[in-house]
Order: sequence, then structure tokens, then C-alpha cells
Amino acid sequence: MSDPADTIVPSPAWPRTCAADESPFVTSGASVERTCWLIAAATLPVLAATAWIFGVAVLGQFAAAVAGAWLGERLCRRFLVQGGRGRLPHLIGLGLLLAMTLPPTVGVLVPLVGGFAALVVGKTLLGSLGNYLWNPVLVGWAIVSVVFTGALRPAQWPFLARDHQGTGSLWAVTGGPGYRGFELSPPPPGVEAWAAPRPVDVLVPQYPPLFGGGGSPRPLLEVFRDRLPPWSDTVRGTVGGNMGETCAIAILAGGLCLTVCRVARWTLPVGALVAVAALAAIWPVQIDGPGSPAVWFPLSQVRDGFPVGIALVLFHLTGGGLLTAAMLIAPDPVTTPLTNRGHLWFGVGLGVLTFLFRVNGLSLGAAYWALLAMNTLVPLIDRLTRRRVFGT
Amino acid sequence: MGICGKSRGWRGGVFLLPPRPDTAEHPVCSTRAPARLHIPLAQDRETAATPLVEPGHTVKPGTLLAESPDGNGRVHSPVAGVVRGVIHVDTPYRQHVPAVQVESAPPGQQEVPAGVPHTGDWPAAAELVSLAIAHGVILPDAAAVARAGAVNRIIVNGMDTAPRQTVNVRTLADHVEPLMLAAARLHAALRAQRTDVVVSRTRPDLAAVLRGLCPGRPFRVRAMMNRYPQAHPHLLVAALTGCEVPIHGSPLDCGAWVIDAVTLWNLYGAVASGSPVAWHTITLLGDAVLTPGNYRVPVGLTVRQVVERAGLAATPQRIVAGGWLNGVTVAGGNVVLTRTTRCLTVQSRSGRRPPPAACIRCGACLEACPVGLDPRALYDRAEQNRFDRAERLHPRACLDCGLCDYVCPSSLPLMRGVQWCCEHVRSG
Repeated sequence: MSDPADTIVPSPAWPRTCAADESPFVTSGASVERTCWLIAAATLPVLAATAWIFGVAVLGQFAAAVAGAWLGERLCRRFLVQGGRGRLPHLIGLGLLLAMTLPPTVGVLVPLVGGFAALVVGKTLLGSLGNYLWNPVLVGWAIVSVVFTGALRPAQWPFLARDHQGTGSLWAVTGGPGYRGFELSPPPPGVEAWAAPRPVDVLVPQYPPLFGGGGSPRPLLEVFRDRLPPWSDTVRGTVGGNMGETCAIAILAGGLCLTVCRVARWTLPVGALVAVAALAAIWPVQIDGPGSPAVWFPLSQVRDGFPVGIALVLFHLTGGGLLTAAMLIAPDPVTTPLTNRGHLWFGVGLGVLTFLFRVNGLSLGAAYWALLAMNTLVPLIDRLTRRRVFGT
Repeated sequence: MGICGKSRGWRGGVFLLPPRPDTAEHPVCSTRAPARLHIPLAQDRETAATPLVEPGHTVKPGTLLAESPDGNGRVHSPVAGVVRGVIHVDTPYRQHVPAVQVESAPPGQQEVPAGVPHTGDWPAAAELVSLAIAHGVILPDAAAVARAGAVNRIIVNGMDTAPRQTVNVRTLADHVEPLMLAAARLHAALRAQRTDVVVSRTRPDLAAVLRGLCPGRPFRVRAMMNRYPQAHPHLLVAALTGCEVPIHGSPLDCGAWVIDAVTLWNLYGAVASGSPVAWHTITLLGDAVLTPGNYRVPVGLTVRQVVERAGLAATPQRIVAGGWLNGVTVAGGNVVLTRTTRCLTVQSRSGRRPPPAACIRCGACLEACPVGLDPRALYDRAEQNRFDRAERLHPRACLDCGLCDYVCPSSLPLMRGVQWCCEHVRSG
């Protein structure tokens, strides 16, 4: 290399002073806006799946939820607080996630009110981005589930039948024993949608309740053969349920995106799923119907060559709101612990509480209530999972 | 490497992108001294040395110009010339620092100090340290090393502490043979049990060359994952020995002594040929630099003089002395560089960070922190002036690596918060 001082280069001018900044002079690219946009974008696979499973028309409910959140944002900006970064992507994510927790036949008023409540009460009144203790999506959901009790517990859970996906009407519905699995059941003429129960709603009565009452168990084999679709339908999403709960593949895709982009941490959903699977595998259940003793460790149980125990565990994982709660709603960084270890304990707690709520007879929203409860415990988890400082 | 970024000894850290352009590809480019130099009498933030020369004195390369009151800091002239006086200059770290102004003689009259290879054994620890101090070599923990038997394990650091700085790796690559000879001599002089030469795993060719020199020598070559800030002495000790340096301690508390390749090269020069430290190597980076690379320059050059050795491609808007994650900006081209500045980045744009927002509790700073601090909690304490509650969070364990600022999505000045807590805990 020759000495560059020997070559004469016409030199650009030197300024009198240069910028006086503070370090760092390079950043990782992480920002509040990016985090909020990614959380909103992670719902896209679910949105696509929802449009396919429940018809394009239900996207109006998502739009209503976002509109409600936007109205709330306008109101808050006018009267409550100004400033703050990432407000637009945050309200979009808030609205979309809120709509995912609602039934497909709910109409536009409930998501509108829910989005508004989530933003005004859940986010702004509870301290704005960075300070709220409970996930604002779930605060909004809790409010509408109290205000609109009936709308959130419809009599039947419809989804579109074969050949009508995306475009069919959820109101041309038939229920009952006609549906035996998506691949097996072409709809009768004039019917565009099937009504089938949420899988978890069917499983919950199998457990003897913790505090007495309730519970009307049927033989598990009959439940799986006659009352529930094949498990693959819960993965594909062609079962009854809230809009964002049914399609496990879409939820996993969104959650995986969040994990790869380092917004969510894999320890949380893994902890939650492992906890639910482990509890479902060992918790006593009345396998053979009324009057039969509750069998411990149902995982190993086989009836007529059908592994009812394994089916029970699988339906617990994908048949309710657990996946949505653990992979898409929980990753809001404000309401989760700080460290990886904290996320693991948070996930385990989420799974355990979800399962206990289900066992005790709460099937609709068990995972959401569990998530709210775990949000409350976050300061405690942070305190218990603090890292040891190097050299102390 | 575990899936969570855990390696032996310490957790956290971030893999930063490999340097583009890689300034370690070319040998260090030596330059000539300019007509006038301003040799600062304080390197960092310590008290300035007392000048020993008067205006009009003639100096030669290596003439002692100033000495600090305790005799540990010595400043030597890099060139032959005439002293013009003592003026005050700004350095990147301090303003109004006394500096000896030397007008250098024309290139023909510059005597190059004869480098006579010294092949014998090096003197024992105490004598070696005093020899180093006499020649202006700044040894880490010099006083403790001087005690016989203090060093159990020597770690020669061939990695650089700042992300794109390549001074250490390039010095090692340019002077492999003499540096390995120096490592062996140092090993014998300090009666160490082990010596490790550490290079980044991203430089396998250098590691191979070093390994080729191992047989018959008392050291081992360790190629390490360069997960920033692995090159920090405390983390090197943790990774190599498994011993955690106590918060108020130094690596010698673990029996290990970390010396980087540049310091070892300076020490070799002092012992083998008696030449004092008056030149230093600096990595020049940034889009406003025409030919980024490593340059060997005399002590006492202004930023402008240094940058113009590599050529200026555009008008500089931001000049950073030190690492990109924890360095400081330089006010202008007339700031005089000290020899502790090993990296200078000259940028034609000054990209500003967005204004700080509320913490969203993402926990990225906690996961990135190599020493397990909670930077956001310390920042909160500093912001609320609750320094009494900061002490149990151990702010003084901070290594000033700047990773918390780097990963923060809310652009919070977390490292500054930790440093405030540090200062208050120290003074209070």
C-alpha cells in the first residue's frame, strides 16, 4: 500500500464544527414502531385464514375493531395524553387482536366497542404504552364479555362448509350430527356453513369440577368419534370457535414470525403448551362416562384401539384459545417479564392456569383469563428471575 | 454457543455484523510526521504531565518531553525537531489539555531510531514494569504485576474491543514472529503458568499462522467467538478461566493478566530496542474516508492531519473517536488525538436517533448486557434521582460496552443512566 500522503487528492472542505451526538452511533434497528408493526403484521396469517374459514364478510368485524381503537385514540389525543411513539401500529394491532377473540357472528358493534374500550381503558387510562399492567386487548375483551354477555356466547359456532369457503354465508347454517369432519362432509343443498361446538367446550364437562357441581361426562370414545371433528380440523381451523382461535397453522405462522423477528420469545409459548400438555396427560378424567371413576394419567388410555388420551391432549392444545393467547396476544412486551427465564415461568403459569380454569368448568376464554392473571404476576416474576450481576 | 447466546463464563452480548470494508485486510500503513505536532500531556482524563522541555530545545525521536508527578506517565517526542512552546489543545476526552508544540525537522534530518534486536531473556517482573513505565508503555495493573508471582496466566488479546476497529488484529498479523517471541519472553519473565493468545474465530488464517509458531513455545492459541464485547478483559478472563472478576477488582484477582497485542508490541519495542512509545496505530473508518485502514501516526496529530493521511472523500459531519457503541464525538478537525484513541470514524452524515420514548419493557437490554445488569431499572433510578436505591443493582459492574443503548427500541440513553448511577454510588 503506497503512502496516501504522497498522492495529492483535492480535499473536500472541513466544517467549523461537527455534530456533537451521544453514543451509540449505530443501532440494532429495533424500535417501538417496528415492534408494534410486527405484532400487528403477525395477525395477517390469521386474518387470511379467518377470511377463508368464516368468509370475507367477517373482516368487517376486524375493521370495526380497528375503527373503535382509532376512535379511542382520537379521543385520548384530544382529552387525555399527547405524544408517544408507535401509536398507529399499536392501535391497529390492538384492534385486530381484539377481533380475533370474538365469535364470527358477533356483528360490528361489539368489536367497535371492544376496540374503543381496549384503547381508552386498557391502554390510556391504565398508563399508556410502557406502563399498563394488563394486556389492553384482554382488558377490552373482558369489558365486552361483561357488557355483551350473550353475543360472546352464541348458541352455535358456525364455519363455512366445503365449496363455500371465503364467500359463503355463515347464516345458511346447519348444526347437529351432519358434520363428521371437513373432508368427509359435503354440505347438503342450501347449506353453506356447519355449526359445531368448540372442541374445548365439549371436553370441559369430562372433568369432575374442582369445587363441585356441573360436569356431565360422556364416554370419551363417543365424544371423539361422534361429537368432535378429527383433530386435523383444529389444525386447519375448520371447527367452531372465536375468529382468531381455530386455525392453528396460521397462529403458529404468526407466532413464528414474531419469534424470528425477536419480538416474542419462544420460551413463553413453549412453556404454556408443555404445561397444558403435561397437565392434560396426567389430570384425572372420567373416560368411560357417568358413574365411572376418574382415571389418572389418561395419556396412556386406549379404548377400542383409539388412543383417547393422546386425542385429549391434542384437543387441549389446539381446541381453544390457548395458542392465540400464548403466541399472538401474550407477546406484547409491556405485559410480559423481562428475561427469558421470566418468559418461561410466565408461559408455564399461563398453561397451568388455563388448564385449571378449564377443569373447573370455564371453557370460553380460559386462556384469556389466565393471561390476565399472569399479567398481574409479572412484577413478581421479574423480581424472582433477576439475573445475578457478574462478579458479585 | 447455546441457543440463548450462552457461552462459558458469561451471558449476553450480540454478534455484530462483520466489518465492511475489512480494515484488517491490509497491513498497517506508516505515514510521515507533519511539519508541526501538538503532543498532549494527558492521554485520557488523568492529570497532565509536567513538561520537561523549554521553547527552543532541540528534540530527537524518543526525547522525554514530560513526566507526570508520580513518574508513571511519560511523554516522548515522536520526531526530531524544535520545541516551540506549551499550548493548550482539545482532545476527544477533555478540553484545554496542555500540549508540547514541536516543529519537526525536514524528512532528511529525521533519524530513525535503530531497532537493535534484543535476543536475551527479559528482566524479571519488577524491573520489566519500571522499564515499561520509563518508555511510556501503559501497562494494565502495572503496580500489581510488578509483584513477583502475581500473574498466573497471561492472556494476549488479539481481538479488538470496538466493533470495527482492527488495530490489535492487524498489529498481531503484521508482527507475528516478534510478538510471539515477546509472548514467550514475557511468559518467562513473569513466571506465568500459562499463556493464551486470543484471536477472533472470524480470522482463521491468523489463528493458523499463530498455531504454526506454537511448537516449542509456552503458549496456546485460542480462536474465540467474537460476540461483542468478548474482547473486554473481564470477559476474556471469564471465558478462558471461568473466573468472574469481582466488581471492584481487576483480572489479576483471578490470577490472569490481559495484555493486548498493541501494548505487547510497545513493550517489545521498549525492551528489545529501547524505543519509547511515541507513535500509535489507529483504525480510520467511515464513508468520508477515502481509503479506510490502519495507519501508524505520530502522537500529537490533529484529527484533520490524521484523516488527510487516508484522504477525505466528503465533508465530514460527524467524527467519532472510539467504538461505535460507546465512543465520543469530536468537535472538529482541530482536536488533537491522544494515543489511547484507537479508532476514528468520519461520517459525511450525522444520522440522529429518534427521540427517547417510554420503555416498553422488551427486556432486550437485560438479555444483551454481558454482566447481567438491569439497565432500565438503573436508568429509572437515575431519572428519579433515587441513587440510594441504585447501589444494590451493582451499577459499577458496568463495562461501558454500550450494548444496552444499541438494542433499545425506545432509544433511551441507558448507558448514561448507568454511568450516572455509577458516579453517585462511588461518590456517595
